[in-house]
Amino acid sequence: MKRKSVKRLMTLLVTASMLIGVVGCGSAGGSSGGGSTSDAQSETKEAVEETSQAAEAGNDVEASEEAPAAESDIKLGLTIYSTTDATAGPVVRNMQTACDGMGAELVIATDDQNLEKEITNIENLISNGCQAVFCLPYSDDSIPRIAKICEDAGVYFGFYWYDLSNEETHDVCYASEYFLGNIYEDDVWSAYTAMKTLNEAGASHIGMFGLPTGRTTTTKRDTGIAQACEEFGMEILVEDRVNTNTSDDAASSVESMVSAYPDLDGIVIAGMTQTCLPGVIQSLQNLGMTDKVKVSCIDFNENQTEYFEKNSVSGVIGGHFTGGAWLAVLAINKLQGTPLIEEAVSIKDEFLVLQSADDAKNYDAHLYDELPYTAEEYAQMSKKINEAFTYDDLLKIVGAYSIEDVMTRHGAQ
Amino acid sequence: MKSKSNKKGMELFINLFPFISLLVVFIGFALLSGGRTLDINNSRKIFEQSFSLLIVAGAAVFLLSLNCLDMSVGAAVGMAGAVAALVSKQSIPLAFLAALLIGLLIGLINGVLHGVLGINAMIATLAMSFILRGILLIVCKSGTLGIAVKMYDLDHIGLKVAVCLILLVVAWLFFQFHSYGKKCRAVGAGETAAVQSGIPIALIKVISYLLMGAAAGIAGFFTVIRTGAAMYNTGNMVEFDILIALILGGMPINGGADSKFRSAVIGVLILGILNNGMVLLGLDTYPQLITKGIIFILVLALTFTIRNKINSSKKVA
Repeated sequence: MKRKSVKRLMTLLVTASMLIGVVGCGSAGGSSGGGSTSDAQSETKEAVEETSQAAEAGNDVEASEEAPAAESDIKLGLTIYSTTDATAGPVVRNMQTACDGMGAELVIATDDQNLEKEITNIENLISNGCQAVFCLPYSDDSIPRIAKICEDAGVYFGFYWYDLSNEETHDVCYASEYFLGNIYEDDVWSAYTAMKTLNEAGASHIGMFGLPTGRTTTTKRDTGIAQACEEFGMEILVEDRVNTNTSDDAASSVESMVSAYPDLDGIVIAGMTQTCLPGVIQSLQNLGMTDKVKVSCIDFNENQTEYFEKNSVSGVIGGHFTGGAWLAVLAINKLQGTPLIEEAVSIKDEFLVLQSADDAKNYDAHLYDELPYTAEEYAQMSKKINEAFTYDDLLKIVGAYSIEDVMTRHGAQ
Repeated sequence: MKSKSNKKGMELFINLFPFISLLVVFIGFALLSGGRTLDINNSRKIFEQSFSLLIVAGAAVFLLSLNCLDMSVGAAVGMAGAVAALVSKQSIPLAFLAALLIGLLIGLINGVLHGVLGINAMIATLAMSFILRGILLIVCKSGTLGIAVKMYDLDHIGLKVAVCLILLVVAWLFFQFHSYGKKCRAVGAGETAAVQSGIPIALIKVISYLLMGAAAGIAGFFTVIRTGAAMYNTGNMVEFDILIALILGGMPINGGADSKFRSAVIGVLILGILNNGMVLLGLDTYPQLITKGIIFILVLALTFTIRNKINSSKKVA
């Protein structure tokens, strides 16, 4: 009888240890796209070189080339919809490299583009000890909530990929002493350019895949598309904002578009490219309409080089993957007690435009396989390491972002 | 004699398992996180993150004890949230009422589909889920619906604790002591026997789906208060979270006489601590999902096997 009791107790203990074991296991763990435009290649190098030289000239400056020790008391948190796809993956990798270079720890949580999960992640990241958290708010209406959570906890916050043009949310953020800023892209320009590449490829009757409404990004991209339609005499025949979550849905939607609108000669994917583009390309291929219906999209994707080689796409606009890293630069400097700037800032991140397989290959080699900025370059953006580095230097680096800039800095051109 | 003590031991294990799991998860994460999970602010966050799930899981106990599923709970939470957000611009009490009513309406339709028309519960509620998600996409214009700013005032921990306590205590009393709760368990234990005992199965099922709908309405209302907006995917996967929580809490997957109301509370707590603890430990999302899946399968396999053994030994006896 006693042996039985011991057996039972052992069973309980083993089960308990199994649960602990399973809970304790695991840890963290991206492919790509395409090329470029932009003229200001060497500004970044100059900015970093100038500040490094100035730092060397100074007396008590630790102008070290090496990244600071991994042990850090600065912890940053990021909530993002994925850590692996061709758009979110590089954001995470760039931000991680910035943190590695500047001596901070990065904690990442994914939210599947779900508002509840995003809020929960922010709360949990704060509980984890993060001193600054970054997110892409999925709704303007959630911003007051995010601001309150961070204010209550005394934690800095900032937004990547987010245009704070909504007056109410802008005021809410700028009223908070914990708001670091937002990194945004010119989404009117990106959508306009995507349409322009279609126009240059000879398309004028367009089917559109779009982002859900209710986001500033959506409104801006819709504006860019409308501008291009007016300027180039193009027409949006049909739009789909629903069948964008899976390639299958997008493929079926393309079949419906083509049969309902025989004039359709172009498709613009103004968001959700990761899921839409493979379905769109496959569907057009199956229908034998690759040559007739041109495709352009916003956001890079895994197979864009191959798509360019097969002439399946006319243009891809994206590569805006450094926003998280810029937020990290702002936060780390602030948390180190050497802020680059006292007040909250709005920084415009640059898009890259790919129009050929060569563009795509250059992007793959120099901005994806190797990141646009090394840990050492990020380290030089820390005032603690490079005292002469200023906010204007950061703006110069951000403004110079292009494939040519990266290739020049990294000695590939 | 031997099999009797074996059975007793297995029953004891099944009864204690949820408590032990909760304790293990609680102590395990406290140790692994260096005590961060025990922080008062973090505990508060765990409650706030688990609040909506606690409400719907409490109602789901009635359904699962009947051996019924509701795959539309998540969509119902989203729908109620969207309606609350829309109406909140007019009046906040009206927004609450609207969310509750929309939940009740969804519950009533589910109840009639399964309880009265006899359509398989999973199929009926899954179809309802598609319909609701479709409507939600239209209502949210594929995007988000913001709530009235005044509604933020209701995002108060005291209110949530009060609502949670009242609802859970009332639900527990009903489930444990009222004839309705006993009838739910009786139906889950054996529908034929319940019919022959004169239990109005259709009515019991309709009431249970109504309760589930009401809970989804309340959860939807509080969910949008927490997030500031309803989104087309609000409430996504809630039905699976409920199932995982209830199983972790010791609920028999087939319902019946062994169903316990505490399963909801213990299960949601385990899930809440697990979700929070894994982020606190810095686990990436994918290992988190794998971990949750493994734990779910382990618990299910373990409890299912033991329950089967207990049941077969009962038959032998």
